[in-house]
Amino acid sequence: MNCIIIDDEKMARSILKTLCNEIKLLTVIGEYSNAIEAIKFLNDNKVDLIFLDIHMPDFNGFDFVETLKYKTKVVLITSDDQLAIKAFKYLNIVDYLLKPLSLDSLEKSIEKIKMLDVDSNTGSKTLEKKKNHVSDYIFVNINHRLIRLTINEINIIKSDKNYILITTDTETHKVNISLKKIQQRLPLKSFFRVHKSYIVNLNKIVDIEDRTIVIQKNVVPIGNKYWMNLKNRLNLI
Amino acid sequence: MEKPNLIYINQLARGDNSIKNELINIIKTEFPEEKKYYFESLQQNNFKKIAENVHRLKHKISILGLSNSYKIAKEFEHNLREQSLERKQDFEKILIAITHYIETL
Repeated sequence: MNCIIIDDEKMARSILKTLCNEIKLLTVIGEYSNAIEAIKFLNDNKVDLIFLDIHMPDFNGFDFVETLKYKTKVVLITSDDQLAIKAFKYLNIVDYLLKPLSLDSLEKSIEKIKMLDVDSNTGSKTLEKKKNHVSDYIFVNINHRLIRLTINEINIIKSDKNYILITTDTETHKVNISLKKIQQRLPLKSFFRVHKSYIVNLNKIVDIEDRTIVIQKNVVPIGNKYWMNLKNRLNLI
Repeated sequence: MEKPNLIYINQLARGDNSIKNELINIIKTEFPEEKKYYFESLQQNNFKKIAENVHRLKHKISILGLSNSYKIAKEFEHNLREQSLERKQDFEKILIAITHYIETL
């Protein structure tokens, strides 16, 4: 996979090049400190992937993405954690990594791109789906990496001091946010606070017995003050 | 106050001294330039430019393992975008600490 790096900071470019050298699949074929040079190169050369900084003097990474004639895949590399939602409105922005970069975050990103390639090669309209279902996701900051979680795959959210534990069918993510804040970002029709320390996805409840909820193999207590509200919300016959 | 360190750079270099030295040399060159641009933009009272320069310096702060200082820089950058200089002094203390540290490398 041929890639180029666009970042006004030499340090950022060098770090990324160092990390790219650790990944066999990647070959860095150019590095640019400004957009104009990069556009000139892209007019004459085909690249598979662009690593792009968002904030650079005199131009913005999003403007650059809009100027691309061919929808080359772009991974944004930035210190700004506030632009993820905007980023994923662009079909060809496939990932969003926060500085300082780690080998682990870059490797995961490349794995994700490989998966997208497999999907598109098998005729799947992954990118179209992504466009149509953007509101079905939330982004959470885990170890300097913004991870996209599919909302309907979330089963349980439990508070854990200053963190929350988000459990899906396959894994648990530890995120530095309060239970109250995450609840504000989830659809009310599916997610319900059943205890001072727990929110559950109502669609995932298997059964309720003795004021406890079973979701997969997990048991969640129902707090006294939440019990009546929960009964009202459920389709009780 | 926390001290700058090379933990992140050592992790990146994975024992390769040529990579480590290259990255240290870039910091030694790039940091003073960015610091100079920061103070120039400050003199011009150009909040947009100051914020851009703080944004770039912020990355160096994180590379040198200064996680609390990074938060201060982030706050300062945010304040600058709101046309406020709040946290300027704290931010400049970080620049002094890094300047002294770089002299030892």
